[in-house]
Amino acid sequence: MGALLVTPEHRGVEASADDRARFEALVAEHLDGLYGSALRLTRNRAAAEDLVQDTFLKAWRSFGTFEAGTNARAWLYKILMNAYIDGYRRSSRLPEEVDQEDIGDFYLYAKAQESEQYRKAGDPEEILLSRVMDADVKEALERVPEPFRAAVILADLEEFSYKEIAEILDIPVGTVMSRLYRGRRHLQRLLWDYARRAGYGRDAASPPPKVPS
Amino acid sequence: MSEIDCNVVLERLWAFLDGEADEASSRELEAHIEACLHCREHADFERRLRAIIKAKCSGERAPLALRAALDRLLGDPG
Repeated sequence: MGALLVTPEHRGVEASADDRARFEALVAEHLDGLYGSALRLTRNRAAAEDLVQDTFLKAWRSFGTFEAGTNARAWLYKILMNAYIDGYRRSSRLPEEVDQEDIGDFYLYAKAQESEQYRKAGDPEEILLSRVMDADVKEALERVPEPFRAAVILADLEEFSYKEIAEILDIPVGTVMSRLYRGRRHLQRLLWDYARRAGYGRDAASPPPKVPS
Repeated sequence: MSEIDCNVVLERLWAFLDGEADEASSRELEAHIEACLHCREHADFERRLRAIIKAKCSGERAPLALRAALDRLLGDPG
């Protein structure tokens, strides 16, 4: 996406000062949230900025058709996701990843339960959660493949309902659930990798990294 | 009143934690989770995990350059 040097004339109709004020309020309210989601989606600051700019440009152009009092956040996210998917499809060389392995929904909890090492150390769930606290969760999330990552971002970071996500992504609720659950499984598996690596680091001969001397 | 077992809780846990289980199902799950230590520990774990993920992946601030670009977009003078 190139630079978006545009003028308000793109909107086609003369924007009233009142429209502008209402739109500016939307920008102020949702900019940080949209930027955060764009960053998790695109995994790149410049691309995230372009995507958010594109989103607000499109939103501004169609602001005349937006009904006040309806769900502005969902409306903005729908525009964001459409812009992202368009750009993503054009530039994507990543095939939709298919994980054949049936790992169950609650991978991390199952791992905590079955880990001999965590059991011996006391409270396995507490240990695992503290390792997740130390993990690079952003990076793990960004490694979840599409279209599953988008579902996790919309549900678990933005806390949209299944129905809202279905409308935002223009897919059936059943598809939302299957994408979301697969995305979560994938994320849990990645987080387990981080936790396990952190564990090996601590159990090795070298001293643990975060204990004050 | 049907009593549900732990496997049913597992099947519906994500929908339940997402606030997406219907009212009757939610009541059954709540009652079971209240009474069953194992399911309660599991549900707590998933809740805390989700809170950690959200906390660690949120809180980005849009850069000033983006704010400025949006001001220009809206035709702010200057």
